[in-house]
Amino acid sequence: MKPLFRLFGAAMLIASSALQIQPAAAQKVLTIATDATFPPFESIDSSGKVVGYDVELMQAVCDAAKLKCNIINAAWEGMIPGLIAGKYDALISQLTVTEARRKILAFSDIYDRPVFRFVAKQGATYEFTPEGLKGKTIAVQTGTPMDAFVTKTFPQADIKRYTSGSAPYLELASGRAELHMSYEAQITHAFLKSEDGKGFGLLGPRYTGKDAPEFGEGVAIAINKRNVELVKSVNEGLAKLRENGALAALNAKYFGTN
Amino acid sequence: MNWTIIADSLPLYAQGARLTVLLTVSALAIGFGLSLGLALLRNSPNPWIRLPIASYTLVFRGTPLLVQLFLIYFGLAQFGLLRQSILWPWLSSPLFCVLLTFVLNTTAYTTEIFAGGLRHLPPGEIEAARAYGMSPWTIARRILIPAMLSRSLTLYGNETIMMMHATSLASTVTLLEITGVARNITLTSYILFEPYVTAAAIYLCLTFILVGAFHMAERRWVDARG
Amino acid sequence: MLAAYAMTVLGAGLVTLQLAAGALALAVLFGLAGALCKLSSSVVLRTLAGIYTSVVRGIPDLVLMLLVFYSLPTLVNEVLTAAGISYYFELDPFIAGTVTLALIFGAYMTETFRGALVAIPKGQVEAARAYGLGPMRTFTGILLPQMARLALPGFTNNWLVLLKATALASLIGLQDVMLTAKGAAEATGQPFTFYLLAGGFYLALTLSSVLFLAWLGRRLDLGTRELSR
Repeated sequence: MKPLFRLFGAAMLIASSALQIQPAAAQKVLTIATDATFPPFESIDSSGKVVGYDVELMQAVCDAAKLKCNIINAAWEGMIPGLIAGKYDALISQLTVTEARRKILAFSDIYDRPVFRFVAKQGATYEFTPEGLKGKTIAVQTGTPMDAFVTKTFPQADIKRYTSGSAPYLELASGRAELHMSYEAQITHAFLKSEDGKGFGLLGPRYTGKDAPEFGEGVAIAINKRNVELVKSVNEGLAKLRENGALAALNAKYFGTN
Repeated sequence: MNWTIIADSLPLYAQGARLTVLLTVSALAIGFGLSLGLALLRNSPNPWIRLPIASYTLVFRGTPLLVQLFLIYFGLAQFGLLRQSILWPWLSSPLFCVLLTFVLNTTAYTTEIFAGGLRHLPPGEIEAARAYGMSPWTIARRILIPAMLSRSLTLYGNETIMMMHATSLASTVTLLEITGVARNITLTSYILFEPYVTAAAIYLCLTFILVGAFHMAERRWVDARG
Repeated sequence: MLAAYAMTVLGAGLVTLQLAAGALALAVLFGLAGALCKLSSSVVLRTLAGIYTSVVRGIPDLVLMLLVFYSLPTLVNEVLTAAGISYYFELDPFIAGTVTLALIFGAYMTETFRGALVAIPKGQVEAARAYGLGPMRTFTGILLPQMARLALPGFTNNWLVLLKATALASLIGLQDVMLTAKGAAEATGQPFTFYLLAGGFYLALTLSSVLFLAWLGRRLDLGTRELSR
């Protein structure tokens, strides 16, 4: 019995010393959530990893700011509430900075200014007025700027809302939805270049934040309002990437532009 | 806590509850009718009748309802031929796909429940009916179906509750039943506690009503037989 | 490309299995505790167990999962903040999924185990007591082995429903078979292919479970006999 007891005591000692060292040496790993249904910005690749523009950008920001980050895939519906509740430390998911969101979230500096477009069958013509889209089916991701915009601007359209950013494309391909509204870069690079996107094209006005408040100021990393420190370090990281050309290189890698 | 948002959304919850009840009642009603027939055929001595039904119930009881729903809603749209067929106006409606999935699912379970109720029927009862000169149709109507139903009332009661709860999956294909309403409120109001608690409370009430109804039915039709 | 996605979907089968196994182990514990509470002489324990089983079985699995994953941490943290404690309570999708499924199937197991315990003749417990066996020995030596045999059909059924219910964890973001299938479906534009693959995975699991548990049932029934009628 005695040796066993001594062994147990030794194990306890090691465990407790390990526990004591841990908090001092290890930096807190930040949990950063993304809704990985929005290629090429964030998606799950064929090996099950979270990949994309935002994911690479976030990792680079974390490295530049010397933060330890764990970027995870999260369900869209729980992301913003999860950030407010402290479930996640930050969100990177092409989140548009809008007045409504500023009230409840803190944002980093803006890192991109997207253009919002409609996509539909090539050759189809629509008049982008409340009358012209009356009864047309428009697919959008719920709770996005596009959702807010079409809900307000085209109240007589038949708006179908999905919790995933990719599902509207399946609906477009199947003909369940006539139109889908999203980020121009996403439509172009994730859909129009794919097999399913053949015969589809961009149409309608090129909307930006200047056209409607719903489209916001641009996209940024969202952070909990109480975490002023993190906003500062993320902005420092972003600034470094701007200076050393890493951001431009990332843009070139994904979109062939800067 | 922010209950004013919930108070403001009560009309939405009421609409959601109506859709939940509508989905539950229609899936169960159609499933009930189909299962009566399938259960009788399920015990058929002819393997060409028995085995297809057995494989159908096996597949639908052996896979998650969520998979079945996504296969029917998103999966079928993969086939261009189907998209051009006359079925497509139906299949393109989320309500129709959800109902189709629920009916296929509940029919599989209910068929097995009813067929199980029939299996323990003493053969003498049917022999006696034959001896009286009853036709197969009369035997089914007067002996088999009543015996089947009263023997499976408890299990069928569970199945109705399961079905009512299963309708919550309709929220994954854009339908705004109770769960869909709750998920939508979290997306637009950014609160995580109140919407789901409210949804849970509504489901609890609906479940208790169903349980109460089946207790009454059991007292009326099962206990009375002694 | 398709093959790589297919391998990822099947590889996520490990996550599904871990979730199911973890939830089952916990559910058996909850079920045993629940059954003993329901059969206890204490009114408080009986009432608590009654509330547990009827509330858990009165809420859809999906809603309960959303409650545990989203609402529970929110509530706990609000209470902690109000109490001035700077601890942060958090559940990841795997833990939230395991706990939810354990809660749900713990409630079903409670009924299964209670039914099995009731079916064991009272005289056996009295005989054990007369032989001087303590309550613990009586439970582990006399009741438990018989309960296992009597509860097997109900247990089998609960396990099959549990296996299928794991797919719901994909809706709170767990990278299981279902979520990887959804990702592959949306990335390749071939939803039918990948949901069919996922369906095949679950069907293979449920079928092999049925066969294994039927074999186990025959083993456990060895040495018992039907009363001659």
